[in-house]
Amino acid sequence: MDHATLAPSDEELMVAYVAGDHAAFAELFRRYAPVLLRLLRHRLQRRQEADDLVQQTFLQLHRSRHDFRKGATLRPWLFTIALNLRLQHFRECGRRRETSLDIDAIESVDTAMSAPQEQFDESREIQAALSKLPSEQRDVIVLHWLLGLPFSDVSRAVGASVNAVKVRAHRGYVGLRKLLRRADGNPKERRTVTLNTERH
Amino acid sequence: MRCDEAREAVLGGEALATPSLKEHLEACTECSGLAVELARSPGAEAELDSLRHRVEGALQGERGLVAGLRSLPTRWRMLMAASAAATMALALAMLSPRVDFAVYPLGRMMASAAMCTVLLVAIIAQNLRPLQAPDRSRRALWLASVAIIAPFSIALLPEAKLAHPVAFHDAHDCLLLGTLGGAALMTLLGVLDRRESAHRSLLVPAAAGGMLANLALLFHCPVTSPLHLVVIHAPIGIVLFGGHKGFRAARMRIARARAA
Repeated sequence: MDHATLAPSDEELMVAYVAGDHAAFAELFRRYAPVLLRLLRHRLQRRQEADDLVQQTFLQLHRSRHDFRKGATLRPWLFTIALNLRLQHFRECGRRRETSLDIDAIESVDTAMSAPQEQFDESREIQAALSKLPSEQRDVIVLHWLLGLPFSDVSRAVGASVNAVKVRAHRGYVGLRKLLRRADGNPKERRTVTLNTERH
Repeated sequence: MRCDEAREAVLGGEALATPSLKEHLEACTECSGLAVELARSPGAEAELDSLRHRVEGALQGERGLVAGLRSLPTRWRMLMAASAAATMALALAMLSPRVDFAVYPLGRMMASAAMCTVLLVAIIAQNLRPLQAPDRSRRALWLASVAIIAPFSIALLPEAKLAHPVAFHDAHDCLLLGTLGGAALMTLLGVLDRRESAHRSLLVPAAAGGMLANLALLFHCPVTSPLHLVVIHAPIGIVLFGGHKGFRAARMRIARARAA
């Protein structure tokens, strides 16, 4: 695909931004703001909180730009900043208990593509099941499965060893499957949800 | 198209109607799941535009000396804070050295100084740890707690027996000098800290300030009495913590009053 192959990588954009190219930052924002919003809205009650955290994430990216070295990968960097900011936010709020997903808010967003209804429902069930997992497992699954980060990047993002992350992912996937079966009520009839735990 | 290419394309916001991508999404449940997720989550253009304006506005505010200092590479920020601490301790030692330098047990002084230095460097490193590194705030709090307690344990060691009598200078300036030096380091750490002020730790920079004060006073104050060390030197970190907390509370109250 021409567009994908010709487009500069995240790292090239970051290097360009450090050199003073503001358009590179705008492109990074375009690429990552929707993904970060999704990541952060997983555990936040109000949309405004996620918006604030995304704003802070990009502000922190700007402040940390001179720490970025050639050869580093931007994506785990950015996700680590976002997760740390979310952690700080929870500490600040004194909110230890996690909140459920804002399903209504998510539903109200217009779908940009025409997805089959059953696929849509399945996705929503996964979201609801995800919200019931322990936060350590959920973060790993969101980063690995939903956002497609390899385990090495996930381990950097959450600050645990690759083995620990794999264990969390395994437990998370097992838990997720159980929750999905329970939600369905009839495991035999339920369509299999593809949760690929083999990706590296 | 491979899964990783499709994923990049979807995450990169490429039009989902691109033939190769569409074909892949129809065949691959995982990637189409991701596309559905992204499509129904915060994709609304207007919302993203508004957020982009907010980010640009925030970046516009990132100008001036303070913004420049906190944007320095992390190792420079750490080096700057450590150098400032070393300069303050050495300045006090050079300008107003303790009068019993020659007779004070060298081993004891070196051991105390080494402990203070190691703790001080570790706390500075934790306090200026960048957000792109995994969170280690528990470790920072643990270190800060050790740094608050350590001066008390040094102070409560058996009193150093001096081989020769020493004519002591007035040592009442210890609290003032120590607090001023510690507060200066805390201010610098605040300037170099990239986090928003509401997210910054109160205890960690106070512990760094207290550690610097104790290190500097080790080279300045000739009083070896445990009572003086426990009452004046050791609690400087706690004094700084209380002062910092009071200062932040007052600032928040003023901000709230202005907003009202």
